Amino acid sequence: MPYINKNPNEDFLFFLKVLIFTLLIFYLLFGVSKIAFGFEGSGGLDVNEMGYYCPPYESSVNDGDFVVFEEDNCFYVLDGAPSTTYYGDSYIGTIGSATQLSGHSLGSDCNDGICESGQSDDWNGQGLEQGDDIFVAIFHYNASCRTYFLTGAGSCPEVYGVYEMKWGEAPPEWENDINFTEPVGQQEGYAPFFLNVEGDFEIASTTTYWNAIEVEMTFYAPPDYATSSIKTEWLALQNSQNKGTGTFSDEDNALFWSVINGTYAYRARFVEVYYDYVAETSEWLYDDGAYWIFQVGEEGGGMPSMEDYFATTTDFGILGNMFRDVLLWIFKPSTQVLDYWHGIKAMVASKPPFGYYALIKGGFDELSSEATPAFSLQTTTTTDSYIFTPLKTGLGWIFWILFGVWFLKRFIHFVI
Amino acid sequence: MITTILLYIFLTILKGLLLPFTLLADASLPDAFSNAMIIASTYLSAFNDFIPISILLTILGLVLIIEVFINGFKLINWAIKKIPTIN
Repeated sequence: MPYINKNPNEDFLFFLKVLIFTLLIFYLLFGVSKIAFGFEGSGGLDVNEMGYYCPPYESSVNDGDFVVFEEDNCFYVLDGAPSTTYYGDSYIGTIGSATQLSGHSLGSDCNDGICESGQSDDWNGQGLEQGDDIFVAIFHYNASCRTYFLTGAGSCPEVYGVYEMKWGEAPPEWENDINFTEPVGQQEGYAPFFLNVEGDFEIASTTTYWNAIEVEMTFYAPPDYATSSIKTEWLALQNSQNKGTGTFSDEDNALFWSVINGTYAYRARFVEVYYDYVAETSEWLYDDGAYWIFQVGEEGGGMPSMEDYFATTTDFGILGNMFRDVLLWIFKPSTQVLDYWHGIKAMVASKPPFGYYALIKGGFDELSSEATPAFSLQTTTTTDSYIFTPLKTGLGWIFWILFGVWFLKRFIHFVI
Repeated sequence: MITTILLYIFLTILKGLLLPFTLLADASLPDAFSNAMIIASTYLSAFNDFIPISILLTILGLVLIIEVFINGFKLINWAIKKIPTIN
């Protein structure tokens, strides 16, 4: 067709089609990458790849440590972090509820992700008290990140890591744990079952003499049941001398299901009790992220292996167990290979095009109708409630109906 | 054993495919991008008193999801039809 006779609208339509097609490919690509890699648009810097310390410490403290920094010449540490430009911020409080102490560019030496950047953080001048939460964040600079660290609003769409600490001296460690003997359970049947709690509970001399031990047992439901159940019992100590022996038992027949093919775990702590009032409690013992899990009725108890935990809670008899173990050996993937798969995400998380997805998603997450308006009309309350609010509601319905019409037409004209 | 071996094979293939991406520099966007979103939100929220912006954003998201689904479906069909003997 000669150009002179060409409808100029066609050029515009062609441009529009190309634009829509490009956008669709864009979203498809990033949609697929999200499904495949499950990006959340944040984080990416592990605590193992970063660190922080100030004198008197001479190397990085551990994430979660109690610390007292005596001088303000502090060091932000990167060890094997992704290559990019980094900022280091220090905050008092916890993520989402914090005040900023300082913020620094860590310099070009840190661009390769391996460095110790000296910066000034005056922790001592802030009047911090024992147990106060503090944290440092190392991140590729973005204003949204600071907003996120300070208020929790939005997210940090860049590579970042957070190192959380507590101010003060670490609490004394318990000299003696509570010594649980092996639980005596039943293979099948009903409660009661018993857990002996024995031991010499002498704790550090500077701490309180406790009145009792609070034992909490969690009964994990078999797969057919949805919920687990928690039971608590106090065992009185003798004359507040932090010594004692006790027995935990539960005769609640409603728990019978938890005894059949179920597992249970327990933990305990020392408590100071006045009548029924709990005045003070110690840290939970055996509560470092993994309960001490026993299979009910299994002689000897002990921490089960991964195979036990996932697949051998049922006893099939000698022959059946042989088949079970063979099947496990053949089909159960090794933990190592699963860990390798887990590491793939980190391998490309910050690289294009996947990294762009996280960044763009983080950016669009900021788009909201709930922000503080840039301007507002001065209207009376009655105008709002009698005119604008009903209009807005009606418009909302109209928009949904239009969407329904569009969807119906799209569905009807869909050709495979 | 079998599952482990299969996972290793797939992992090796996937790592090979992803290797070129690891050679690229980290993705980054200008700060102006996220700042623009925050500023746009302040204007959108001003109109939210009269126009249901949150509903519009929801509908926009749904439209995009549906379009991506439909076009993704077509794309896969197109790719399948490129395989010889399949019409």
